[in-house]
Amino acid sequence: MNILAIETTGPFASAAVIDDDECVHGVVSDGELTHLQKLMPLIDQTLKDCDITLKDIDGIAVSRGPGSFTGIRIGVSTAKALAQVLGVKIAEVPTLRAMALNYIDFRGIVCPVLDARRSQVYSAAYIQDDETEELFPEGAYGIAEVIEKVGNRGPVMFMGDGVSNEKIRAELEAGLGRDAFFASPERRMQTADTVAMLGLEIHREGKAVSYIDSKPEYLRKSEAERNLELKNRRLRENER
Amino acid sequence: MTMKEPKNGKEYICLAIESSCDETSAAVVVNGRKVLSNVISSQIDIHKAYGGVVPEIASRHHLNNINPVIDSALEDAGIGFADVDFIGVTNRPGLIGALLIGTATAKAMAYALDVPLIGVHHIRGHICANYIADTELEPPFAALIVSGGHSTLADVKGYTDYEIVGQTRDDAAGEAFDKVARVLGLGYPGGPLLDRLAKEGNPEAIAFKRVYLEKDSYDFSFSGTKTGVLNYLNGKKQRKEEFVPADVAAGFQAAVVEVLVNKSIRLAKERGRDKLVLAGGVAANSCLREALGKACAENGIKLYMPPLILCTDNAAMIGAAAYYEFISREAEDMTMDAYASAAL
Repeated sequence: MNILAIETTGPFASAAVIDDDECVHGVVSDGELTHLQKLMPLIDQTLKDCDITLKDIDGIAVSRGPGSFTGIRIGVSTAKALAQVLGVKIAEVPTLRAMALNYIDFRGIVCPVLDARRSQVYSAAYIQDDETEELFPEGAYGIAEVIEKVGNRGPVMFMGDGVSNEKIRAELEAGLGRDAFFASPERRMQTADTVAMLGLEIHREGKAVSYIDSKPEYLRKSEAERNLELKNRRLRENER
Repeated sequence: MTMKEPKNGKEYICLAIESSCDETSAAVVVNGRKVLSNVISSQIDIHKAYGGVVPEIASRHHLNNINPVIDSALEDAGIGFADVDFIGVTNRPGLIGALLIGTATAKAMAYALDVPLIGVHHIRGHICANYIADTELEPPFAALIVSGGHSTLADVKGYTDYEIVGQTRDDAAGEAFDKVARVLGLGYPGGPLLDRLAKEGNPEAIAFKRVYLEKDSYDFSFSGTKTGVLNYLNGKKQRKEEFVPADVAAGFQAAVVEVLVNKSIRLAKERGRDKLVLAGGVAANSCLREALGKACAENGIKLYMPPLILCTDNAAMIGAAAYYEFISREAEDMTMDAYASAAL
């Protein structure tokens, strides 16, 4: 089984292929935020490097979010279109879980933090010991909330673009002191390599979905929807 | 340029995709003229609650809709992916987040099918809708393109040779229609509602300003006319005077349409074009269709207007435009991008 993996939720687009022996080959874009232009050439390069074509692909894996809304959509729409034409299924890979695999060798808590603006991060955390266990599920959280959830539990490895944000990093450091560890730049961001690893697992478990059912996970409504809900709630309260 | 033979040995089959604003559409078009299917999934009802198109919401719905819409287009046409000779997609101009759903989808499909990919200018698509409506129509001709985002006069010299002669300097015609509809409290989308209300009004009851700009200019300016309406309504409200909304709608529409018609006729005459083509969403406006029809008849110009279904955003028109690009130039490579704004 060959799985083609796509990752476009962060600043660097990437593609990867994983085979039955769990051998991964990935290619990462050299530029920032040109995912629409870069993604198909990256996929083409990855396949060529592996000396295969799309005909040899048995399934797709896509990083389905959270992350940049636009980035998520480029990846998911590409995955859906490929799956539709090729007649294969899609593994909807949770972006934060795939990122956590960057530090699969770390004993303790791994906690991806993506800058979600509005004083929030998209985050989730996993306790890594002999087995991996979810500490708290993916969501949009305030940084204080994250600190409270991971605090007093030993060393925590943070990763993601939140680590590159001085303010977020300083807050985590202030809250956790010597328990806070930060991913080195080369292991900090999401890549298709770990999306491929989780994707293969999802395909093997038979949990991959059709191109019709495959959906992104933004973890947040659009601003217009939130504002409308707020307005309607106020109107209802005023009526009471 | 070397071009592959059509897969069926006779005609080129295009799978066309459009997602530049709030309609998700896919179509199958043969040799740029014959439409085998044209599936349109509109989001109008979703955006009504916000009084206009919300880009983020539009993008999210495009992503949910595009694959089933493509399936339906192939099914309605009675073909499969294997029959497709090339893919055409709107990649400019429009809402960037919306455009990239269609563009990313088209790129991936073209790659997986190993067929050429053609990026199409949305407005060229609107013009080419007329090749579907009238299979005898050939360039050259003058074209008036009016929509929520555009008011453009073009001299169409060939199937892929367009010269923009005039454009709006502020509001697009459709944009002005929507804004006036909003202040009249007509709801969304405003253009068609304004058109309906105007039918009950007297277009000569209130004379709103006609803006022609410099004597030889083909450009448009509708913001002055729109402001005229706002000032009129504010004045009435301040003085607590009654006014007839239908007369306001009719008067405003007459002012905009008069300028559109006169400049279009002048262009056709000056360039020696005996054909005038109307295109874009506002081409559905009954007052514009009627006035243009009358003016063309008086001046011996043959007028082409697509049926209403081809006036709104749809993929069939993109398939028509894509065909003429496909037979005249190299296809795109896989680095093709989407652009919020672009020259015609």
